[in-house]
Amino acid sequence: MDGVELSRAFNEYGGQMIGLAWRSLGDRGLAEEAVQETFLRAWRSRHRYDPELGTLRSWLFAIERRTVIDLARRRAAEPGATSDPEDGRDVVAAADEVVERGILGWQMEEAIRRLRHEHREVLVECYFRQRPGREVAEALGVPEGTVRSRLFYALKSLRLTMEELGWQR
Amino acid sequence: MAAMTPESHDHWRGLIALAALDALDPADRPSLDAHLASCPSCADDAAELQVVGAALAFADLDAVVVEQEPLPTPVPAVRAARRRRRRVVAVALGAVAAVGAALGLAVSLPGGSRAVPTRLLALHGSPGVVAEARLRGEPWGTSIEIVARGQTPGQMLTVSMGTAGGRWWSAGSYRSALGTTHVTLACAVRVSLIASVRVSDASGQLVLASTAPGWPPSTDPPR
Repeated sequence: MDGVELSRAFNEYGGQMIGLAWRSLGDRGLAEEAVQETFLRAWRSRHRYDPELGTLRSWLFAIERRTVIDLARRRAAEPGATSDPEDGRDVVAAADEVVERGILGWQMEEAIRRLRHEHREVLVECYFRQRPGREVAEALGVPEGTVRSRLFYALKSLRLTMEELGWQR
Repeated sequence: MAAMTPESHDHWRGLIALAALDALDPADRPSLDAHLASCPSCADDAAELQVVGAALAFADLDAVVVEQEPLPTPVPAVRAARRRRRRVVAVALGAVAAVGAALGLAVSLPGGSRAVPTRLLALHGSPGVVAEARLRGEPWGTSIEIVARGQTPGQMLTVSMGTAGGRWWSAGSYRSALGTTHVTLACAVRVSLIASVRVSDASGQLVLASTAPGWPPSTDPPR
């Protein structure tokens, strides 16, 4: 991987990466810092990128995830940090949780947006709108088994896309 | 169900998906458990999808549902869905924690407030394609709602938003539908900085493009 490739990746994924970082950190300035730091880390460790192990995109998102967590921890540990978890956990652990939730939420929403229409459709109806499969099947004019099958492949697709976006189970 | 062969793979996959979404009929649980105990392949699928199903609870309902018109329904289900979803979040947290992410109970993330500044851009493409993009300022950046008619269905298309300085930011991708496609995507750049929008196909070929007339705007018009 060279600078041109990384620069192209910045143009292609930079917006989404800022979206992820903003969602996780809740601060636009910090989100921009996270993306800059991510690309800096990527450049420094470019010799470790192996396209046979995964796409450049998933590698970058994995680095960003780590970077965002580091920034959140650093912020939480600063004197005067306002985090004050009620359950007695330390502020760094609490910051990790917030960031993990933000990352997971962003990855899942992005993955849902990329589903094929017929997969997203049944997922939204059956999961988000809590409609019985039979009712969704009637509305779509397909057998109930088809709805269930689409749900199965929707979940499979979500897993693949989320891994592309750096999801670490 | 009657037309389905109980032993078929599809049958079990359907039940596995429902279980992952916490929507399995309790009457089907014993037979599914028995099958999973004897079928390693399905057991692997079940374990894999259970984690995905649990993670679904972290997606923002509005961010996802706003893109899809509800199918005709005899019962208003959204309020019940929200109540049930709160329960699912608790279950999800347990499941996700089990695979390494020790998370808390409530999802309280930034966002959710609606935009004030809005801009409408016409998108130009091949003859017969009519499209427009509505840009909306959000606290975190810009959401872009695209309505396009006449596109070749099934294409995977990528939407980018460009600043006046010539920098392009990816807002996401979508698959074109037969007839009218309606999608909402987003990027973190402020709406006031967006000068143009473009949509490219999988090979990078430009299929829709716009420029914002009157750029730069003196003020963003109120919504």
